Amino acid sequence: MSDVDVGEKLGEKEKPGEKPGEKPGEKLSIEARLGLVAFTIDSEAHIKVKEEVCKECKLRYCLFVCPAKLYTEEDGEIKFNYEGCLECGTCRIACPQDLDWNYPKGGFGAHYQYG
Amino acid sequence: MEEKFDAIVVGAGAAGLGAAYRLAKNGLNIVLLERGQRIGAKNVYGGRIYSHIFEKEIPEFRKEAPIERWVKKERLTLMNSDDAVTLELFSDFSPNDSFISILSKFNEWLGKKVEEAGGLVIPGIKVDDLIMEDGTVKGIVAGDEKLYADVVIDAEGINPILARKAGLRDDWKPNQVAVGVKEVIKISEDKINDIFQLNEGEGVANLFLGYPSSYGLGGGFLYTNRDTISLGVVVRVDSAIAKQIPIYDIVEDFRNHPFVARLLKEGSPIEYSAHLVPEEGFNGIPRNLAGNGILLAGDVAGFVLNRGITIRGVDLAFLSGLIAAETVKEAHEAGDFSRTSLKAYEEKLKNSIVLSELETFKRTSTLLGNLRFYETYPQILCEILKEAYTVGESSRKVYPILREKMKGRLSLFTLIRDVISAVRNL
Repeated sequence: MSDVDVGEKLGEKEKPGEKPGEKPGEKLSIEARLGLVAFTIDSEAHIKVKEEVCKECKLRYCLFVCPAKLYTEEDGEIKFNYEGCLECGTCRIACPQDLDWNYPKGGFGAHYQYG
Repeated sequence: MEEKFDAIVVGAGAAGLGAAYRLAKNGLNIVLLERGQRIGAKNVYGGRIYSHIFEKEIPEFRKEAPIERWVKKERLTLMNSDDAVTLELFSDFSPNDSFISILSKFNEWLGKKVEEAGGLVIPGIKVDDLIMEDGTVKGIVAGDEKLYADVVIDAEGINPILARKAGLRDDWKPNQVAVGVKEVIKISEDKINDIFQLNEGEGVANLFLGYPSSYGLGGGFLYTNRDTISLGVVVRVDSAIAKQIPIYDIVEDFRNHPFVARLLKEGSPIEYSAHLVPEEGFNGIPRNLAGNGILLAGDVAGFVLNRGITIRGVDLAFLSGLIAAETVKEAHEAGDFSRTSLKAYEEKLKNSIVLSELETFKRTSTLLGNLRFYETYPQILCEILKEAYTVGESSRKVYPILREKMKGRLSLFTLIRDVISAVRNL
Protein backbone atom coordinates (compact mmCIF):
# COMPACT_ATOMS: atom_id res chain seq x y z
CA MET A 1 0.00 0.00 0.00
CA SER A 2 1.29 3.40 -0.83
CA ASP A 3 0.18 6.81 0.28
CA VAL A 4 0.31 9.39 -2.48
CA ASP A 5 -0.78 12.96 -2.14
CA VAL A 6 -2.85 13.08 -5.28
CA GLY A 7 -3.49 16.78 -4.71
CA GLU A 8 -0.08 17.48 -6.13
CA LYS A 9 -0.47 15.00 -8.88
CA LEU A 10 -3.88 16.05 -10.14
CA GLY A 11 -3.73 19.75 -9.30
CA GLU A 12 -2.99 22.20 -12.05
CA LYS A 13 0.15 24.18 -11.65
CA GLU A 14 -0.76 27.61 -10.42
CA LYS A 15 0.77 30.63 -12.06
CA PRO A 16 2.24 32.97 -9.49
CA GLY A 17 -0.30 35.50 -8.27
CA GLU A 18 -3.06 34.03 -10.35
CA LYS A 19 -5.03 31.12 -9.02
CA PRO A 20 -7.34 29.49 -11.54
CA GLY A 21 -10.96 30.28 -10.86
CA GLU A 22 -10.19 33.37 -8.83
CA LYS A 23 -11.56 35.71 -11.44
CA PRO A 24 -15.27 35.55 -12.13
CA GLY A 25 -15.99 34.15 -15.54
CA GLU A 26 -13.04 31.80 -15.35
CA LYS A 27 -13.96 28.15 -14.95
CA LEU A 28 -11.86 25.90 -12.78
CA SER A 29 -11.06 22.67 -14.57
CA ILE A 30 -12.12 19.43 -12.92
CA GLU A 31 -8.45 18.49 -12.52
CA ALA A 32 -7.81 21.72 -10.59
CA ARG A 33 -10.85 21.10 -8.39
CA LEU A 34 -9.74 17.53 -7.62
CA GLY A 35 -6.43 19.09 -6.62
CA LEU A 36 -8.34 20.77 -3.77
CA VAL A 37 -9.36 17.45 -2.24
CA ALA A 38 -7.08 15.60 0.19
CA PHE A 39 -6.73 11.95 -0.83
CA THR A 40 -4.87 8.93 0.40
CA ILE A 41 -4.56 6.63 -2.58
CA ASP A 42 -4.57 2.87 -2.24
CA SER A 43 -2.32 0.90 -4.58
CA GLU A 44 -5.34 -1.07 -5.71
CA ALA A 45 -8.43 0.23 -7.53
CA HIS A 46 -11.69 0.04 -5.56
CA ILE A 47 -13.83 0.28 -8.70
CA LYS A 48 -13.13 -1.87 -11.72
CA VAL A 49 -14.64 -1.49 -15.16
CA LYS A 50 -15.25 -4.67 -17.08
CA GLU A 51 -13.37 -3.98 -20.30
CA GLU A 52 -15.27 -6.40 -22.51
CA VAL A 53 -18.68 -5.29 -21.26
CA CYS A 54 -17.82 -1.58 -21.48
CA LYS A 55 -16.45 -1.99 -25.00
CA GLU A 56 -19.86 -3.19 -26.17
CA CYS A 57 -21.82 -0.61 -24.13
CA LYS A 58 -23.50 1.97 -26.32
CA LEU A 59 -24.90 4.10 -23.47
CA ARG A 60 -21.76 5.08 -21.59
CA TYR A 61 -23.48 7.32 -19.07
CA CYS A 62 -20.34 7.13 -16.94
CA LEU A 63 -18.59 9.53 -19.31
CA PHE A 64 -20.75 12.47 -18.19
CA VAL A 65 -22.36 11.57 -14.85
CA CYS A 66 -19.14 11.11 -12.87
CA PRO A 67 -18.64 14.34 -10.86
CA ALA A 68 -14.87 13.83 -11.06
CA LYS A 69 -14.80 12.98 -14.81
CA LEU A 70 -12.81 9.84 -14.09
CA TYR A 71 -14.28 7.77 -16.91
CA THR A 72 -12.76 8.46 -20.30
CA GLU A 73 -12.90 6.87 -23.71
CA GLU A 74 -9.69 5.80 -25.38
CA ASP A 75 -9.73 3.99 -28.73
CA GLY A 76 -13.28 2.84 -28.12
CA GLU A 77 -12.51 1.49 -24.66
CA ILE A 78 -13.64 2.87 -21.30
CA LYS A 79 -10.83 3.79 -18.95
CA PHE A 80 -11.35 4.57 -15.29
CA ASN A 81 -8.93 6.37 -13.00
CA TYR A 82 -9.80 5.50 -9.40
CA GLU A 83 -7.47 8.16 -7.98
CA GLY A 84 -9.60 11.22 -7.44
CA CYS A 85 -12.81 9.23 -6.88
CA LEU A 86 -15.19 11.26 -4.71
CA GLU A 87 -16.95 8.03 -3.57
CA CYS A 88 -20.48 9.19 -4.37
CA GLY A 89 -21.74 6.08 -6.17
CA THR A 90 -23.33 7.89 -9.11
CA CYS A 91 -21.61 5.65 -11.66
CA ARG A 92 -22.93 2.60 -9.84
CA ILE A 93 -26.50 3.88 -10.05
CA ALA A 94 -26.25 5.16 -13.64
CA CYS A 95 -24.37 2.21 -15.12
CA PRO A 96 -26.78 -0.21 -16.82
CA GLN A 97 -24.09 -2.90 -16.65
CA ASP A 98 -22.93 -4.67 -13.54
CA LEU A 99 -20.14 -2.39 -12.35
CA ASP A 100 -17.66 -3.80 -9.84
CA TRP A 101 -18.06 -0.97 -7.33
CA ASN A 102 -16.71 -0.64 -3.83
CA TYR A 103 -15.69 2.05 -1.40
CA PRO A 104 -11.92 2.40 -0.93
CA LYS A 105 -10.45 0.46 2.00
CA GLY A 106 -10.92 1.95 5.45
CA GLY A 107 -8.90 5.13 5.90
CA PHE A 108 -8.24 5.49 2.16
CA GLY A 109 -9.78 7.74 -0.46
CA ALA A 110 -11.05 11.30 0.00
CA HIS A 111 -10.76 13.14 3.32
CA TYR A 112 -13.32 15.90 3.24
CA GLN A 113 -12.85 18.85 5.55
CA TYR A 114 -15.85 20.89 4.43
CA GLY A 115 -18.33 18.15 3.49
CA MET B 1 -10.44 -13.95 21.49
CA GLU B 2 -13.92 -13.50 20.27
CA GLU B 3 -15.31 -10.24 21.55
CA LYS B 4 -19.04 -9.76 21.44
CA PHE B 5 -20.72 -6.37 21.61
CA ASP B 6 -24.28 -5.56 22.54
CA ALA B 7 -24.48 -3.66 19.26
CA ILE B 8 -22.29 -2.72 16.31
CA VAL B 9 -23.16 0.53 14.52
CA VAL B 10 -21.93 0.79 10.93
CA GLY B 11 -21.21 4.30 9.68
CA ALA B 12 -20.61 7.53 11.58
CA GLY B 13 -23.05 9.75 9.75
CA ALA B 14 -25.86 11.48 11.59
CA ALA B 15 -27.86 8.22 11.90
CA GLY B 16 -25.02 6.06 13.18
CA LEU B 17 -23.87 8.77 15.56
CA GLY B 18 -27.41 9.19 16.92
CA ALA B 19 -27.70 5.43 17.45
CA ALA B 20 -24.28 5.12 19.08
CA TYR B 21 -24.87 8.16 21.30
CA ARG B 22 -28.17 6.88 22.71
CA LEU B 23 -26.89 3.29 23.07
CA ALA B 24 -23.82 4.48 24.96
CA LYS B 25 -25.97 6.71 27.17
CA ASN B 26 -28.09 3.66 27.93
CA GLY B 27 -24.95 1.89 29.09
CA LEU B 28 -24.77 -0.71 26.33
CA ASN B 29 -21.43 -2.08 25.17
CA ILE B 30 -21.23 -0.76 21.63
CA VAL B 31 -18.78 0.02 18.86
CA LEU B 32 -19.24 2.56 16.06
CA LEU B 33 -17.24 1.73 12.93
CA GLU B 34 -16.48 4.39 10.32
CA ARG B 35 -14.59 3.90 7.05
CA GLY B 36 -13.25 7.48 7.00
CA GLN B 37 -9.81 8.21 8.39
CA ARG B 38 -11.51 10.42 10.99
CA ILE B 39 -15.17 10.94 11.91
CA GLY B 40 -16.69 13.29 9.34
CA ALA B 41 -14.14 12.65 6.57
CA LYS B 42 -16.68 11.03 4.22
CA ASN B 43 -19.75 13.09 5.06
CA VAL B 44 -21.08 15.55 2.47
CA TYR B 45 -24.37 17.47 2.37
CA GLY B 46 -25.70 20.85 1.31
CA GLY B 47 -25.35 22.89 4.39
CA ARG B 48 -28.27 23.26 6.78
CA ILE B 49 -29.53 21.31 9.81
CA TYR B 50 -32.85 21.74 11.65
CA SER B 51 -32.02 22.10 15.30
CA HIS B 52 -34.88 20.98 17.49
CA ILE B 53 -34.05 17.26 17.72
CA PHE B 54 -30.45 18.05 18.65
CA GLU B 55 -31.55 20.60 21.25
CA LYS B 56 -33.78 17.98 22.84
CA GLU B 57 -31.23 15.18 22.85
CA ILE B 58 -27.99 16.98 23.69
CA PRO B 59 -28.36 19.58 26.47
CA GLU B 60 -25.03 21.27 25.70
CA PHE B 61 -25.82 21.48 21.98
CA ARG B 62 -26.12 25.29 21.67
CA LYS B 63 -22.96 25.87 23.65
CA GLU B 64 -20.75 23.28 22.01
CA ALA B 65 -21.87 22.34 18.49
CA PRO B 66 -19.80 23.69 15.59
CA ILE B 67 -22.50 25.97 14.22
CA GLU B 68 -21.41 28.30 11.43
CA ARG B 69 -24.46 30.58 11.31
CA TRP B 70 -28.16 30.54 12.21
CA VAL B 71 -30.45 30.94 9.20
CA LYS B 72 -31.95 34.42 9.11
CA LYS B 73 -32.86 34.62 5.42
CA GLU B 74 -34.55 31.97 3.31
CA ARG B 75 -34.25 32.56 -0.40
CA LEU B 76 -35.62 30.89 -3.50
CA THR B 77 -34.13 31.96 -6.81
CA LEU B 78 -35.42 31.05 -10.26
CA MET B 79 -32.79 31.37 -12.94
CA ASN B 80 -32.19 31.27 -16.63
CA SER B 81 -28.73 31.59 -18.15
CA ASP B 82 -28.59 35.39 -17.70
CA ASP B 83 -31.24 36.45 -15.21
CA ALA B 84 -32.47 35.56 -11.73
CA VAL B 85 -35.71 36.18 -9.83
CA THR B 86 -35.45 35.87 -6.03
CA LEU B 87 -38.04 35.55 -3.29
CA GLU B 88 -36.70 36.19 0.19
CA LEU B 89 -38.12 35.57 3.65
CA PHE B 90 -36.33 37.56 6.34
CA SER B 91 -37.45 36.42 9.76
CA ASP B 92 -36.69 35.34 13.29
CA PHE B 93 -37.20 31.58 13.16
CA SER B 94 -36.66 30.84 16.86
CA PRO B 95 -37.30 28.64 18.73
CA ASN B 96 -37.45 26.25 15.74
CA ASP B 97 -34.29 27.49 14.14
CA SER B 98 -32.10 25.89 11.58
CA PHE B 99 -28.40 26.39 11.39
CA ILE B 100 -25.71 26.18 8.77
CA SER B 101 -22.89 23.84 9.61
CA ILE B 102 -20.08 21.90 7.96
CA LEU B 103 -21.17 18.28 8.26
CA SER B 104 -17.61 16.97 8.52
CA LYS B 105 -17.09 19.15 11.59
CA PHE B 106 -20.55 18.60 13.03
CA ASN B 107 -20.19 14.82 12.87
CA GLU B 108 -16.70 15.00 14.32
CA TRP B 109 -18.25 16.82 17.28
CA LEU B 110 -21.05 14.22 17.58
CA GLY B 111 -18.35 11.53 17.56
CA LYS B 112 -16.81 13.18 20.62
CA LYS B 113 -20.21 13.19 22.31
CA VAL B 114 -20.50 9.42 21.69
CA GLU B 115 -17.08 8.91 23.30
CA GLU B 116 -18.00 11.11 26.25
CA ALA B 117 -21.10 8.95 26.71
CA GLY B 118 -18.84 5.90 26.90
CA GLY B 119 -19.18 4.59 23.34
CA LEU B 120 -16.26 3.12 21.43
CA VAL B 121 -15.71 4.97 18.14
CA ILE B 122 -13.27 3.51 15.60
CA PRO B 123 -12.56 5.38 12.36
CA GLY B 124 -10.56 3.92 9.46
CA ILE B 125 -12.54 0.65 9.43
CA LYS B 126 -14.65 -0.28 6.43
CA VAL B 127 -17.25 -2.95 7.02
CA ASP B 128 -17.13 -5.30 4.03
CA ASP B 129 -19.77 -7.83 4.91
CA LEU B 130 -22.25 -9.12 7.45
CA ILE B 131 -21.86 -12.39 9.31
CA MET B 132 -25.10 -14.25 8.58
CA GLU B 133 -26.16 -17.45 10.31
CA ASP B 134 -29.53 -19.04 9.48
CA GLY B 135 -30.84 -15.77 8.10
CA THR B 136 -29.78 -13.83 11.18
CA VAL B 137 -27.11 -11.13 11.32
CA LYS B 138 -24.52 -12.06 13.92
CA GLY B 139 -21.84 -9.47 13.30
CA ILE B 140 -19.65 -7.86 10.68
CA VAL B 141 -16.57 -8.56 8.60
CA ALA B 142 -13.96 -5.85 8.12
CA GLY B 143 -10.92 -7.03 6.16
CA ASP B 144 -9.63 -10.07 8.03
CA GLU B 145 -11.42 -9.11 11.23
CA LYS B 146 -14.74 -10.44 12.44
CA LEU B 147 -16.75 -8.71 15.13
CA TYR B 148 -19.82 -10.22 16.76
CA ALA B 149 -22.82 -8.50 18.31
CA ASP B 150 -26.43 -9.14 19.28
CA VAL B 151 -27.51 -6.62 16.69
CA VAL B 152 -26.07 -4.48 13.88
CA ILE B 153 -27.44 -0.99 13.25
CA ASP B 154 -26.80 -0.41 9.58
CA ALA B 155 -26.26 3.31 9.02
CA GLU B 156 -23.93 2.76 6.07
CA GLY B 157 -25.26 5.68 4.07
CA ILE B 158 -26.77 6.08 0.63
CA ASN B 159 -24.98 3.20 -1.10
CA PRO B 160 -26.73 0.08 0.23
CA ILE B 161 -23.96 -2.49 0.21
CA LEU B 162 -24.79 -4.26 3.49
CA ALA B 163 -28.56 -3.72 3.45
CA ARG B 164 -28.73 -5.58 0.13
CA LYS B 165 -26.71 -8.45 1.58
CA ALA B 166 -29.17 -8.59 4.47
CA GLY B 167 -31.99 -8.74 1.92
CA LEU B 168 -33.61 -5.62 3.37
CA ARG B 169 -33.59 -3.46 0.29
CA ASP B 170 -32.87 -3.29 -3.43
CA ASP B 171 -30.40 -0.92 -4.93
CA TRP B 172 -31.58 2.57 -5.89
CA LYS B 173 -32.73 3.26 -9.40
CA PRO B 174 -31.64 6.42 -11.24
CA ASN B 175 -35.04 8.08 -10.63
CA GLN B 176 -34.77 7.58 -6.85
CA VAL B 177 -31.51 9.39 -6.16
CA ALA B 178 -29.83 12.64 -7.10
CA VAL B 179 -26.15 13.40 -7.44
CA GLY B 180 -24.99 16.46 -5.54
CA VAL B 181 -21.75 18.32 -6.19
CA LYS B 182 -20.43 21.06 -3.94
CA GLU B 183 -17.69 23.66 -3.82
CA VAL B 184 -16.67 25.42 -0.66
CA ILE B 185 -15.51 28.96 -1.34
CA LYS B 186 -13.30 30.94 1.00
CA ILE B 187 -14.47 34.49 1.77
CA SER B 188 -13.81 36.43 4.97
CA GLU B 189 -16.51 36.59 7.63
CA ASP B 190 -16.86 40.37 7.33
CA LYS B 191 -17.19 40.22 3.58
CA ILE B 192 -19.91 37.59 3.81
CA ASN B 193 -21.78 39.82 6.27
CA ASP B 194 -21.46 42.76 3.83
CA ILE B 195 -22.34 40.84 0.67
CA PHE B 196 -25.40 39.12 2.16
CA GLN B 197 -26.35 41.96 4.57
CA LEU B 198 -26.12 39.85 7.71
CA ASN B 199 -25.26 40.55 11.30
CA GLU B 200 -22.70 38.40 13.06
CA GLY B 201 -23.85 34.79 13.37
CA GLU B 202 -26.71 35.17 10.89
CA GLY B 203 -26.86 33.21 7.65
CA VAL B 204 -28.61 32.78 4.31
CA ALA B 205 -30.05 29.56 2.88
CA ASN B 206 -30.64 29.98 -0.84
CA LEU B 207 -32.12 27.35 -3.17
CA PHE B 208 -32.09 27.82 -6.94
CA LEU B 209 -34.24 26.40 -9.72
CA GLY B 210 -33.61 26.30 -13.46
CA TYR B 211 -30.17 27.05 -14.85
CA PRO B 212 -28.01 25.45 -12.10
CA SER B 213 -29.29 21.91 -12.79
CA SER B 214 -29.15 22.57 -16.56
CA TYR B 215 -32.98 22.69 -16.33
CA GLY B 216 -33.03 19.05 -15.21
CA LEU B 217 -34.80 17.75 -12.07
CA GLY B 218 -32.86 19.26 -9.22
CA GLY B 219 -31.50 22.65 -8.29
CA GLY B 220 -28.71 24.71 -6.85
CA PHE B 221 -27.95 25.72 -3.27
CA LEU B 222 -25.92 28.34 -1.49
CA TYR B 223 -25.34 28.42 2.27
CA THR B 224 -23.26 31.02 4.09
CA ASN B 225 -20.85 29.44 6.53
CA ARG B 226 -18.94 31.68 8.93
CA ASP B 227 -16.03 32.41 6.59
CA THR B 228 -16.80 30.15 3.64
CA ILE B 229 -19.72 29.60 1.27
CA SER B 230 -21.12 26.18 0.36
CA LEU B 231 -22.26 26.29 -3.25
CA GLY B 232 -23.65 23.27 -5.02
CA VAL B 233 -25.95 21.64 -7.52
CA VAL B 234 -28.13 18.55 -7.19
CA VAL B 235 -29.51 16.64 -10.22
CA ARG B 236 -31.64 13.51 -10.20
CA VAL B 237 -29.59 10.79 -11.87
CA ASP B 238 -32.26 9.82 -14.45
CA SER B 239 -32.54 13.46 -15.45
CA ALA B 240 -28.75 13.80 -15.77
CA ILE B 241 -28.83 10.76 -18.04
CA ALA B 242 -31.79 11.97 -20.14
CA LYS B 243 -30.27 15.41 -20.67
CA GLN B 244 -26.67 14.14 -20.84
CA ILE B 245 -25.62 16.72 -18.26
CA PRO B 246 -21.85 16.85 -17.64
CA ILE B 247 -22.06 16.65 -13.84
CA TYR B 248 -18.35 17.50 -13.40
CA ASP B 249 -18.96 20.96 -14.91
CA ILE B 250 -22.29 22.10 -13.45
CA VAL B 251 -21.13 23.64 -10.20
CA GLU B 252 -18.52 25.73 -12.04
CA ASP B 253 -21.13 26.91 -14.54
CA PHE B 254 -23.31 27.86 -11.57
CA ARG B 255 -20.47 29.70 -9.81
CA ASN B 256 -19.83 31.67 -12.98
CA HIS B 257 -23.47 32.62 -13.56
CA PRO B 258 -23.53 36.45 -13.53
CA PHE B 259 -25.82 36.51 -10.45
CA VAL B 260 -23.64 34.12 -8.41
CA ALA B 261 -20.32 35.46 -9.73
CA ARG B 262 -21.18 38.87 -8.25
CA LEU B 263 -21.81 37.34 -4.84
CA LEU B 264 -18.67 35.23 -4.83
CA LYS B 265 -16.17 37.39 -6.71
CA GLU B 266 -14.11 37.86 -3.54
CA GLY B 267 -13.51 34.16 -3.05
CA SER B 268 -12.02 31.05 -4.61
CA PRO B 269 -12.89 27.37 -4.11
CA ILE B 270 -10.99 25.46 -1.43
CA GLU B 271 -12.75 22.09 -1.67
CA TYR B 272 -14.84 20.08 -4.11
CA SER B 273 -17.04 17.15 -3.11
CA ALA B 274 -19.85 14.90 -4.33
CA HIS B 275 -22.53 12.71 -2.75
CA LEU B 276 -25.81 10.99 -3.58
CA VAL B 277 -29.12 12.11 -2.05
CA PRO B 278 -32.28 10.00 -1.65
CA GLU B 279 -35.02 11.76 -3.61
CA GLU B 280 -38.13 9.64 -3.48
CA GLY B 281 -39.26 10.42 0.05
CA PHE B 282 -41.84 8.09 1.58
CA ASN B 283 -42.15 5.84 -1.49
CA GLY B 284 -38.41 5.14 -1.51
CA ILE B 285 -38.40 3.64 1.98
CA PRO B 286 -37.95 -0.16 2.06
CA ARG B 287 -40.88 -2.21 3.34
CA ASN B 288 -38.83 -3.79 6.13
CA LEU B 289 -36.56 -1.59 8.20
CA ALA B 290 -35.68 -4.41 10.56
CA GLY B 291 -34.43 -7.93 9.94
CA ASN B 292 -33.15 -10.65 12.23
CA GLY B 293 -30.34 -8.93 14.13
CA ILE B 294 -30.29 -5.79 11.99
CA LEU B 295 -31.91 -2.34 11.72
CA LEU B 296 -31.59 0.30 8.97
CA ALA B 297 -31.19 4.00 9.82
CA GLY B 298 -30.52 7.21 7.91
CA ASP B 299 -29.84 7.47 4.16
CA VAL B 300 -29.77 3.72 3.56
CA ALA B 301 -33.42 3.71 4.65
CA GLY B 302 -34.18 6.79 2.52
CA PHE B 303 -35.03 9.16 5.39
CA VAL B 304 -34.70 12.43 3.47
CA LEU B 305 -37.57 14.84 3.03
CA ASN B 306 -37.45 17.09 -0.04
CA ARG B 307 -40.30 19.57 0.07
CA GLY B 308 -39.05 21.56 -2.87
CA ILE B 309 -38.48 24.67 -0.80
CA THR B 310 -36.61 22.89 1.98
CA ILE B 311 -34.61 19.66 2.22
CA ARG B 312 -34.22 17.78 5.50
CA GLY B 313 -32.02 14.80 6.14
CA VAL B 314 -29.55 15.16 8.99
CA ASP B 315 -32.11 15.65 11.77
CA LEU B 316 -34.29 12.79 10.51
CA ALA B 317 -31.25 10.53 10.22
CA PHE B 318 -30.13 11.38 13.75
CA LEU B 319 -33.63 10.77 15.11
CA SER B 320 -33.90 7.43 13.29
CA GLY B 321 -30.62 6.47 14.98
CA LEU B 322 -32.02 7.41 18.39
CA ILE B 323 -35.15 5.36 17.74
CA ALA B 324 -33.08 2.39 16.54
CA ALA B 325 -31.10 2.63 19.77
CA GLU B 326 -34.28 2.66 21.87
CA THR B 327 -35.51 -0.43 20.02
CA VAL B 328 -32.20 -2.19 20.63
CA LYS B 329 -32.35 -1.33 24.33
CA GLU B 330 -35.77 -2.95 24.62
CA ALA B 331 -34.64 -5.97 22.62
CA HIS B 332 -31.61 -6.20 24.91
CA GLU B 333 -33.85 -6.26 27.97
CA ALA B 334 -36.09 -8.90 26.39
CA GLY B 335 -33.10 -10.85 25.07
CA ASP B 336 -34.77 -11.16 21.67
CA PHE B 337 -33.12 -9.78 18.52
CA SER B 338 -35.29 -11.48 15.93
CA ARG B 339 -37.25 -9.47 13.39
CA THR B 340 -40.39 -10.10 15.46
CA SER B 341 -38.82 -8.17 18.31
CA LEU B 342 -36.93 -5.55 16.27
CA LYS B 343 -39.86 -4.63 14.06
CA ALA B 344 -41.06 -2.47 16.95
CA TYR B 345 -38.61 -0.03 15.31
CA GLU B 346 -40.98 0.38 12.36
CA GLU B 347 -43.89 1.21 14.68
CA LYS B 348 -41.79 3.69 16.63
CA LEU B 349 -40.73 5.40 13.41
CA LYS B 350 -44.35 5.66 12.27
CA ASN B 351 -45.21 7.36 15.55
CA SER B 352 -42.28 9.75 15.20
CA ILE B 353 -41.76 12.65 12.83
CA VAL B 354 -39.38 10.52 10.73
CA LEU B 355 -42.16 8.64 9.00
CA SER B 356 -45.11 10.93 9.79
CA GLU B 357 -43.44 13.90 8.09
CA LEU B 358 -42.33 11.81 5.14
CA GLU B 359 -45.85 10.44 4.78
CA THR B 360 -47.41 13.92 4.95
CA PHE B 361 -45.33 14.93 1.94
CA LYS B 362 -45.77 11.61 0.13
CA ARG B 363 -47.23 13.22 -2.97
CA THR B 364 -44.74 16.07 -3.03
CA SER B 365 -42.14 13.89 -4.71
CA THR B 366 -44.55 13.32 -7.62
CA LEU B 367 -44.97 17.07 -7.92
CA LEU B 368 -41.20 17.52 -7.76
CA GLY B 369 -40.84 15.08 -10.65
CA ASN B 370 -42.61 17.56 -12.93
CA LEU B 371 -39.90 18.82 -15.26
CA ARG B 372 -41.76 22.08 -15.99
CA PHE B 373 -40.83 23.41 -12.52
CA TYR B 374 -37.17 23.21 -13.48
CA GLU B 375 -37.29 23.82 -17.21
CA THR B 376 -40.24 25.94 -18.28
CA TYR B 377 -41.27 28.05 -15.28
CA PRO B 378 -37.90 29.50 -14.21
CA GLN B 379 -37.22 30.58 -17.79
CA ILE B 380 -40.69 31.97 -18.49
CA LEU B 381 -40.77 33.85 -15.18
CA CYS B 382 -37.40 35.48 -15.82
CA GLU B 383 -38.48 36.48 -19.33
CA ILE B 384 -41.86 37.89 -18.27
CA LEU B 385 -40.50 39.92 -15.37
CA LYS B 386 -37.67 41.22 -17.47
CA GLU B 387 -40.08 42.55 -20.05
CA ALA B 388 -42.53 43.86 -17.45
CA TYR B 389 -39.75 45.84 -15.78
CA THR B 390 -38.31 47.14 -19.05
CA VAL B 391 -39.47 50.56 -20.30
CA GLY B 392 -38.97 51.31 -23.96
CA GLU B 393 -40.92 53.00 -26.73
CA SER B 394 -44.12 51.22 -25.77
CA SER B 395 -45.08 48.89 -22.94
CA ARG B 396 -47.42 45.91 -22.70
CA LYS B 397 -49.52 44.58 -19.89
CA VAL B 398 -48.25 41.46 -18.10
CA TYR B 399 -50.97 39.11 -19.39
CA PRO B 400 -50.20 39.55 -23.12
CA ILE B 401 -46.50 39.07 -22.31
CA LEU B 402 -47.36 35.88 -20.44
CA ARG B 403 -49.41 34.53 -23.37
CA GLU B 404 -46.64 35.32 -25.80
CA LYS B 405 -43.99 33.60 -23.67
CA MET B 406 -46.22 30.56 -23.19
CA LYS B 407 -46.76 30.07 -26.91
CA GLY B 408 -45.55 26.64 -27.98
CA ARG B 409 -44.09 25.94 -24.51
CA LEU B 410 -47.04 25.74 -22.16
CA SER B 411 -50.82 25.65 -22.41
CA LEU B 412 -52.99 27.67 -20.05
CA PHE B 413 -54.63 24.43 -18.93
CA THR B 414 -51.27 22.88 -17.99
CA LEU B 415 -50.25 26.04 -16.15
CA ILE B 416 -53.45 26.04 -14.08
CA ARG B 417 -53.14 22.33 -13.36
CA ASP B 418 -49.53 22.75 -12.19
CA VAL B 419 -50.42 25.70 -9.98
CA ILE B 420 -53.20 23.70 -8.31
CA SER B 421 -50.91 20.70 -7.88
CA ALA B 422 -48.17 22.90 -6.39
CA VAL B 423 -50.57 24.58 -3.98
CA ARG B 424 -51.92 21.20 -2.87
CA ASN B 425 -48.66 19.34 -2.46
CA LEU B 426 -45.91 21.74 -1.44
